[in-house]
Amino acid sequence: MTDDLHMAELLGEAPKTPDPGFRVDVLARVAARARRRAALDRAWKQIVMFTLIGVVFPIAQAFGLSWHAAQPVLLVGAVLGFASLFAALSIQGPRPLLARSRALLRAVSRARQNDHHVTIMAA
Amino acid sequence: MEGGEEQRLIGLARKGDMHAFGRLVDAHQAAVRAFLRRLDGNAADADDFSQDAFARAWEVLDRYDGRSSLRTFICGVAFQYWRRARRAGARRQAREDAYAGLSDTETQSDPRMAQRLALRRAMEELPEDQRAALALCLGQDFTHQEAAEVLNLPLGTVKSHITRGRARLQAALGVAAEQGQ
Repeated sequence: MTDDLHMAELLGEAPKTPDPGFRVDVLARVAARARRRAALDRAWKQIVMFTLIGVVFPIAQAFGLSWHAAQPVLLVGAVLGFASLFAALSIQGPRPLLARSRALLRAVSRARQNDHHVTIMAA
Repeated sequence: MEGGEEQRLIGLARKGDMHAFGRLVDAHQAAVRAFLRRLDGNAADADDFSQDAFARAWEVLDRYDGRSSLRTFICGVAFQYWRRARRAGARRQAREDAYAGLSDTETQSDPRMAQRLALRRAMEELPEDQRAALALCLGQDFTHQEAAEVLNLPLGTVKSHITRGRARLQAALGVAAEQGQ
């Protein structure tokens, strides 16, 4: 029997029923790709931002803007930078940034306490 | 799955409903996986490409205009993934090595295995488009028109690919039958 269906079956059969495992794998892959894309977007934004910051000063110098003359502009820039940081923290919530800082501070203070405790015990 | 229900699920999936997308995956996974298994010969690799194709389909679902069926659209994406991986070359070499190792032992003991290997070898020798056309249409999963949409080829070319490819496979099976006797 060399009909089409027979050849198709020999070449590879279709799964008889929908496989829930396959669906789970697909959804996991979708999530992983979304995470990867988001990470890539973040990385690009950071690269662009830091490049712009780095490029501003040489350009300013090239146009003959001295450090003294640029001070008001830099002051405004710094104020705007802090304002946008504050706005971002207010909108997105301070949790990730502050939680990381708090955890770091806690770890440092705990390490110091342990050192102090060891010193007292040794004395 | 009926067309109306599928359109409703596509609409929900476009808005980010993963449950709706999961139901679309369930509805079309058999056709996509069968196509890639016949095309590639390795079930694990084929399922890998299928999953990538579905994941990509989720990302570009907004671009799906509904002129062809969703199944056709996903198979088109899957074919692109398969072709890219095949051109990378490594998988093919590994598989050919595996067949070379199998050919001396399995073909003599199991006539069905001999047929399978003969068919697989014949498929490997076909040009990519011809091979994909056969993988789509042999199991009667897709019409010639749908295969033409998946492969982005004229209908006449697909028909000629299938006629020639089928003859090559039948010839390969004939050879396998003679070896089995």
